[in-house]
Amino acid sequence: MKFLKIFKNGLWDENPTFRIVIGMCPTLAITNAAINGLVMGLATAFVLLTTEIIISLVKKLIPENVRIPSYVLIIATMVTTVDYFLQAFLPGIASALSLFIPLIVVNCIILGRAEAFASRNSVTDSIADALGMGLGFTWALLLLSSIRELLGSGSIFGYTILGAWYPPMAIMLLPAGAFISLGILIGFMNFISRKGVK
Amino acid sequence: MKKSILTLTILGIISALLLSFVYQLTTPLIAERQDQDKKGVVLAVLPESSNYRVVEKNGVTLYEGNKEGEVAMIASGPGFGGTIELIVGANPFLRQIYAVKVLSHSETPGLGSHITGEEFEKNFINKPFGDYQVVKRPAVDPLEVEVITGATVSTEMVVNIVKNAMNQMLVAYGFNPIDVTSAPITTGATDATTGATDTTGSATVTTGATLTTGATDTATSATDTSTGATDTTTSATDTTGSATVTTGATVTTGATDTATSATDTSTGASSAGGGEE
Repeated sequence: MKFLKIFKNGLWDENPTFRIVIGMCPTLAITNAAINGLVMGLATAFVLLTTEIIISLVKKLIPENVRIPSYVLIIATMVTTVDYFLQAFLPGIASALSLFIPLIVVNCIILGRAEAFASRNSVTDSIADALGMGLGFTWALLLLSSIRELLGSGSIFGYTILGAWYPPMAIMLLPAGAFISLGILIGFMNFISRKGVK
Repeated sequence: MKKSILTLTILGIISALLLSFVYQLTTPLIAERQDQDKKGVVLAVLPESSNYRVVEKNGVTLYEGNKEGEVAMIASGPGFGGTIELIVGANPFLRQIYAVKVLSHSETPGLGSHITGEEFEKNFINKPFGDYQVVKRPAVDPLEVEVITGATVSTEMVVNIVKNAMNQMLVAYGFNPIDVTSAPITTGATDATTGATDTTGSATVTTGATLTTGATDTATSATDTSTGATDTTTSATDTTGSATVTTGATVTTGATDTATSATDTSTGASSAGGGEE
């Protein structure tokens, strides 16, 4: 029961993108195609899961004063692993995401959850938190990137949805489009949650 | 204190061991993929070849197809948002371009990124060698390239790189290069403007181009005059080695003088930042 509660927390109540609004750098930069958003979300979720597991396991062994460098080291190791595997198995996507994969190291969702959650909670709870936050980030990126790809290129995952009659809005693929769609989405999420409270 | 150092050391060792394992596991796979990609790309621009061999001529790496005369070459140069790398498949003996494909670029998504599209690639399919011009209307002449809307600079830069590759290929096979004009290089990145004016010893050569590079502050230009030759040849190469600019006259790669020590006017001059058009 607690597991589900923590899981749902990341997915919706404290969604990193729409509620806490952290990890904005990849959110704004790479969400111009649905596939990029999905892979970025999953790569981040994987790093989050492995680092939260490791950190919650070794939290008692790491002295208080060196915990941040230790976490960064663990995170960097996992990110580099993901980077190599993406280059080996999904080279097309790896080149599309290029610099943003190594930059997962400094994504504040990961260090934030390591510090705020994994270093204080059990392994099971940390797994729930990592899955919730990771998938919460993934669906947020997927939604944002699908909207941008649909309006900016008339397709989703490369499949044409809006036909030749649709003039693509190039601005949706530019950073300005990311800000506009993210703002509208956050507003929409706030509207839904407020309605629930009333 | 001791415990802190010990913890970090142990963590570092574990991390290094794990990463070296992952590296060993993935490196051959990555290399194999890159080889395959390259093979596919080279053969894609050579219509009748089924295999190719790598040759080095005049300092240029060329991919000679097994069909006589078919040659591919990877060329790069500055674009609007960064370096554009492309491959040109051509026949320098028949003076014909088979195809041009952009391999990598960082042009504006939705605008300059159209240089990768089929629509744009059609501009160079089975075309003669020549001085291509970018036009702001549908292309009529074979040597005209219709500008990509909202990406004039990207279009011009691709055309520059293609013309330059064409001439490098001609020179590599012992032909005289074609007279080409080059568009001035303007990149979107705001950085230093380097005037490509150099004094190399006694010979003073002025290149017409103004090189604005976003990459590094120092773009050294290498220029010289090949005396005795019919043409005055100038070529400006920036330090990254990725950009080769042909200005005014023709290129004679054999007679290029690198003047790294020459005075470079690189001051934070205003450059074309902001919107492309």
